[in-house]
Amino acid sequence: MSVTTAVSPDGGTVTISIAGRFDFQLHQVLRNAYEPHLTRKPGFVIDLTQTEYLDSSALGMLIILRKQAGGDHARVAIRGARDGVRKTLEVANFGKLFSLS
Amino acid sequence: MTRETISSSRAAGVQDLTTPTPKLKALVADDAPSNRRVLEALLSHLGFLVVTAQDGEEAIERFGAERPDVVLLDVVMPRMDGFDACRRIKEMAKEQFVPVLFLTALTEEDVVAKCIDAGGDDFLSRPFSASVLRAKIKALDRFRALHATMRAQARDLEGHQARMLREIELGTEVLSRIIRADDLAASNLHVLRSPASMFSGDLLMVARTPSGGQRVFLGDFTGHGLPAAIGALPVSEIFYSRTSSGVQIPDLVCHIDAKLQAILPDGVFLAACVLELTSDERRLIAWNGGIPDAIVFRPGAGIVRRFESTGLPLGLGVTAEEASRSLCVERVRPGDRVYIYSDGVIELAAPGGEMFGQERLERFMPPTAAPEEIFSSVVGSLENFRGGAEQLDDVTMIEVVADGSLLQPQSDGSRSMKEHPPLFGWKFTLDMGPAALRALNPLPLLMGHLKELRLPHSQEQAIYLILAELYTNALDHGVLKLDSSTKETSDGFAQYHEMREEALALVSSGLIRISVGIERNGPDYLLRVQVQDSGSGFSFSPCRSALDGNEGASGRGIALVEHLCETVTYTAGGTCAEAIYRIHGASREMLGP
Repeated sequence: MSVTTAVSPDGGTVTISIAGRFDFQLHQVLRNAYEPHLTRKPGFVIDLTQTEYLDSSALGMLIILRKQAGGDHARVAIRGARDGVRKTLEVANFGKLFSLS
Repeated sequence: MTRETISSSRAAGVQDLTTPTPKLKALVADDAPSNRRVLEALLSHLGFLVVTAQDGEEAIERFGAERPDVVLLDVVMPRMDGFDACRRIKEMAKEQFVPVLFLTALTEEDVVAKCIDAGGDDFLSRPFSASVLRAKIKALDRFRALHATMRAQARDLEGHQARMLREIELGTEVLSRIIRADDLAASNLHVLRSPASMFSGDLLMVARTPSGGQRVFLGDFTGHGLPAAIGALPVSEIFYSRTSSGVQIPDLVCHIDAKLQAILPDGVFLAACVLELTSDERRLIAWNGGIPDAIVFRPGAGIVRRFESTGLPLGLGVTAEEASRSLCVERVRPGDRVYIYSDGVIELAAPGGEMFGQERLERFMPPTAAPEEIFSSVVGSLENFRGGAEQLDDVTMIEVVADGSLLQPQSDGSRSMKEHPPLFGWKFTLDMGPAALRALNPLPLLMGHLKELRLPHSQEQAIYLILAELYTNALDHGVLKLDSSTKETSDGFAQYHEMREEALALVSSGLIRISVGIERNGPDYLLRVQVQDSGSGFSFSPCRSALDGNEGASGRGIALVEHLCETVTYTAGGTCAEAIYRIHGASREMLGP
C-alpha cells in the first residue's frame, strides 16, 4: 500500500499513484498528497496502474477529492485502472464524474 | 600408522639426529666393501638404520624396497654409476624429497657440476672427517623436514581450495536459481555481466509488475565475492515479492534499505538503481541511489535524459518519503533505449591504468547512432579497451528497449478460468472476537486464501469489494454503531475515520463471523459470502438507486455489492448478510464494457 505524488514541471498536473489496496487506511495519506496543491487549481491524475483492489471508501475519497478540486469544474482523470478495478469504477458510473482512461 | 603420518610427524621439526625417533633409514651405495663398512658404522652411530648396495643397479632395487630417508652414493661404480642411479632414485621418490649425497675421491669441478645436474643435493670428497659427514647429513635432513612440512601444508591448502570451490559452486547455483533468468531473457533486454570474482557484487534482476510493467533492479554491493553475494539473498526476495504484489518503487526501496540496515555489517551497502517501464511503454520511472547516470537514448535525438543518482545507497537509511522525492519520471517514445550500468563499466581500466569513462561510453550514443548496434558496440569496445589488463570490479550493463513488447498480452500471467476452474465444494468460516477485530484486517487473509484456491485473477477485485463492503458494514454499523452520513465532506471523512479508530480500539465485546465458499451449480461456480455480526442490525432498504446520482461520498458500498451479485439478502434483523456471486466463465465479461 503506498501513495506517490509527482508534479509536472509546469506545476499544472499533479499525478497521484496508488499501489496495492486502496481503502480507508489511505484516507489521510491521500489527503496529504493532494491538499497542498489545491490552491494552484491543478489538474489531477489518479494513477491506478498499481492498484490491486479498491472498495467503496476509496470511491468516496475520490468523490471528495473531486469536490475539493472544484466539483464539476475539477479536472480529475483516473488512469491505468486494471480489469476488476476498472469494472468497479464503471459499475459506480464514475465515467460520468471523472475522465477514465 | 601410515607412511604419510610418519612423514608428517617428522616434518614437525628438525630432530636431533643422535636420537631419531623413530629411526631414519640411510642407503649407502659403494663398490668398495671397506668404504661401505666405514659409512655404515658412522651412520649407525648417528642413529640411522643402514641399508647397503654394491653398485647403482642394486642401489635402485634397495631404494625401491626400503624407501630410505637419505641416500649416499659413490660416483664410480660397476654396472651403473652414481649419476644414473641418482637420476632414477629422484624419479622414484617423485614429489617426496629424499636427499642424495655424493661421495667421491674425484675432485674436478666438472664432477661436482655433474653430481648436481644428476639431481644430487650435496657433495663430499674423500677423504672426509666424521664431523663433516655428520654436519652434511644434518643439513640435508633439515631440508628434508622442511620439504615434508611444505608438502603437508600444500596438501592442506589443496583440500581447503577444493572445498571452497565446491562451496562456491553451490553458492553460485543457489544465487542463479534466485535470479529469475526468464525475466532477464525478455526480448527487449540486452545484458552484459562480467563478475570480477566468482560471486558478483553486482545484482541484476528483472520482474514484471502486476499491471504488466517491467521493473529492472541493478545493485552494486560495496566489495564483491561472498560477503556481497550473501546480501543478494534478502534483496532478491524483497524485490520479487514486493514487485509482484504491486508495491511501488519508493516503498520497495525503503523495504530493502531497512532489511539491509538490519543485516549488513557497517560499511557494506548497496548502490542501486530501480527503473520501471510502464506497461503502456509511455513512461519511465527511475530511482537511483549511488549508481552512475542511467542514460535514455532516443533514435535520431541522441541522449535525451540522464537519471542521476539522487538518493543514498541502500542500507544507509532511506525513507519512503525521500525515495519518492528523488523519483524521476520521463516520457518514453517507441524505440527509446535506456542504459543502466555499474561503476565497473566506466571505471574499467586499460593496461596503462586509463579508465573507460562516462564520456567514452556516451560517444556511442550520438543522434546518428544505429540504435540496435549501440549495445554490442559498447560491449566490444569494453573488451578491446581492457586489453589484457585484470578486471578489478564487476562489470554489469543492461539495455532496456521500448520496443512495444510490453504491449503484447502476457502469455503466462493471466490464468484463464477455462484452464483452471476454481476449486469448489468448500467453505471456511472466520470468527473474529473483540481482540481480533481490534488487531486484524481480515481482507488480506481472506484474499490470500482465495488465491490459493485458484480464484480467477480477473474476479479478484469484484470479490474483494464484496468481502470489504460486507465486513465494513458489519464492523462499522453492526459492532461499532457508527453513522456513515458523517462522511459527506473531507473533514467529515477524517472525523469518521477518527471515530472509527477510537471505537475500534475500545471494542470489548462483539463478534463477526465471515463464511466464504464456492459451490458448483451446473456450469456456474457460485461464491457464497455470509457476514454475520453481533450488533442490533442496520437499515437495509434496497439501495441500487444510490449509484445513479453519485454525488455523495457514502452509501455506495452495498449498492455496488448488489450490482455485482446475483442476490444479496439480509436475515436475522439485518445482522446477517448473504451475497451470492456468480464467478464468470470467461474473463471477457469482466473486462468488457
